[in-house]
Amino acid sequence: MEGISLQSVSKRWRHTFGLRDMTIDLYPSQFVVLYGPRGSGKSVFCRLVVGVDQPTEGTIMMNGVDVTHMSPIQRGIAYVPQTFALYPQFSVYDNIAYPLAIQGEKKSEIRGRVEQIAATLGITNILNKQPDQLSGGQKQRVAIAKGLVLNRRVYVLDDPLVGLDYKIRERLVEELRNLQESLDALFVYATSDPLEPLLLADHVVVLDQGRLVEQGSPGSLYYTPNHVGTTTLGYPAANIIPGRVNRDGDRWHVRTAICDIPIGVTAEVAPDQEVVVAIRAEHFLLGDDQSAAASLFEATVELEEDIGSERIVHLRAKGQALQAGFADHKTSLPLGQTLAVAIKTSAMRIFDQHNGRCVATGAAGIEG
Amino acid sequence: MNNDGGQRLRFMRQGLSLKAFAWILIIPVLAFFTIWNVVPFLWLLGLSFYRYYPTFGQPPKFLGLGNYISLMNDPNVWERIGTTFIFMVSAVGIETGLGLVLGFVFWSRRALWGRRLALTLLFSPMVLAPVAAGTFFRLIYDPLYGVVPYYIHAFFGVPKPNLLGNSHTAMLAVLATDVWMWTPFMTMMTIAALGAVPKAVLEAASVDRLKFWQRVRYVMWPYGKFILLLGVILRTIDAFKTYGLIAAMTAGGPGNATDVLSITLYREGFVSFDMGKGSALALFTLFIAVAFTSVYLYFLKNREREAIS
Repeated sequence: MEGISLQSVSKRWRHTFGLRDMTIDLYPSQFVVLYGPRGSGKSVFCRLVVGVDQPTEGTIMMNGVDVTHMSPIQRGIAYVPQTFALYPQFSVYDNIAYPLAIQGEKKSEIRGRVEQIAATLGITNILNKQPDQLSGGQKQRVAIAKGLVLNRRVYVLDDPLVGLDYKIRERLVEELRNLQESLDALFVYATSDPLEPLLLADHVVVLDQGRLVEQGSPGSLYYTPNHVGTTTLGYPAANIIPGRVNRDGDRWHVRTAICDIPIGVTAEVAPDQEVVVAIRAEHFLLGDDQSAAASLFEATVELEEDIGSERIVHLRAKGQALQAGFADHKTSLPLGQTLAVAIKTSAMRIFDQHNGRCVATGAAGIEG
Repeated sequence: MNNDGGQRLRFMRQGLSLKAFAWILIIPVLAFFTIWNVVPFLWLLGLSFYRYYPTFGQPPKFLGLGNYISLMNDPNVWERIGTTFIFMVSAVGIETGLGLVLGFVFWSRRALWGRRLALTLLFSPMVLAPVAAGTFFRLIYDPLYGVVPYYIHAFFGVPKPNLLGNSHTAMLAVLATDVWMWTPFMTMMTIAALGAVPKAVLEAASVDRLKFWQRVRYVMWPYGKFILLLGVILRTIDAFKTYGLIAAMTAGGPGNATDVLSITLYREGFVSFDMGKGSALALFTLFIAVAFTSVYLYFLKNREREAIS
């Protein structure tokens, strides 16, 4: 197979697992984003693919060749590590140019490429400085430049934009996307930022505690997550509300502190099962909105966040904090006001509280 | 510790300025330093201008620079300095070289079989008293029942040599002992120096396809040099004033083949009891040692500046 394929790969140090039984195929020319919280195994994944670490078990294939025990040199993958590593005695220019020089590129060619990548990352003005004269953000951009300047088929970027200033981040996200398209290379990009997967990825891989929990296109993961870990994608993250399955004749509900939510019956739910309900901000409706009469409840406005394109309303209902975005409601809501709020139940996903798997979806409710 | 500030304020309220308070804190250290370092140094300096034999029962006689002039004109002294330098340079050179190799092996091969045991054994010579190690090796080199002469005889078919009694081999034998004793120290410093290199940069170097010597030059050296050079400085100073080991093995002999400055110094002061000349020689030795360390410190400082600018 073209691309990279991990077969039952595990990484273990004595009793701690970095990665557990990971089997996945990464296809060429794709922008793959590894998404997960801290400690979910993203970095370990990157390190194993690049070859700076070896798996405890399993095989890593690259273009059909077993590279499990090959050195990073033999694999030839461009890598931007999480802890940026610059050569202390070299200027910024030399730091970026050195890997190219080692490859035996021509001087003029090197200058052109370094200048181009420096312009992309906005570091042209610091090319003559030494690493210890740079700020953290500058060092980080130099490290990114150093990884991206190489012409390779596979690029691995381990959380490269973390901590960078918002504007630079925004621009780099766009540049990375363009770069990937123009290079037509496989990008493996690890991040814990909930927006980057949606902005960058062709394919998102969600990791949790060293396990692969779900993968798919950004759209399918956002709208139909199959694991509770995936519901943190996007901003704001989905509201997670604990509840218990309740059966009333042939009607099934999830009983939560704020309201009862009708669900579609599946083989995976049983009465009294402990579950969590994920409700995205856009699934809340103001009660006077006639389209959904289902699952009405009362909530108090605690805070309103205006982020320009949309408005996020922080609500509290029976002790439960909720973040809602009332897309149709353009005027601001007075703080402390009690509202009647409804939920678009058909768009909701229900997850088992223990294994995090999606077990049911919300049913249309009474309105149908 | 909120109290500290309060205490200081109370001192100040009682009429003590902050400066006076600082002096109160510094005085014990200064007193200790004066009694143990400054006074003896001045005493030594004073003695070096006198002819003084404590065993003769005569009052000291002022000579001015007489002791220094006779030292400068004494060809033996220059020979001793030469011997000391040969010993120092060879010992530190060999120990650093071997230490680098061993340190690198132990550092890079984490999974080396028996690594821990080997490290423990390797470091054991360092904790011995030099006199004990010297005595131990005098037995090993003993021409009658020593192990080394026995094997030289067995392998090369030559009669058992008296290594310490021969002016051609005595220095080598002493050097070998010093190397045995102090290579572990340089090994340890090498491991520490390599430990100071960030793992991320080493990994980046392997992804960037740097060759071994490029990694040494651009990754390991910039981060490890301070610790490594500190080891070399400590070793140089120590080798320069080696006494116990040589005293126990050859006492400077045979003839003056291993007669380093510290041995000469001891003989002048405590065998001949020529306190004046001994003091002058001691000051001279001190001067050389200070000059040495200054060179290293200058080098380190220079490097530091180079790395920053």
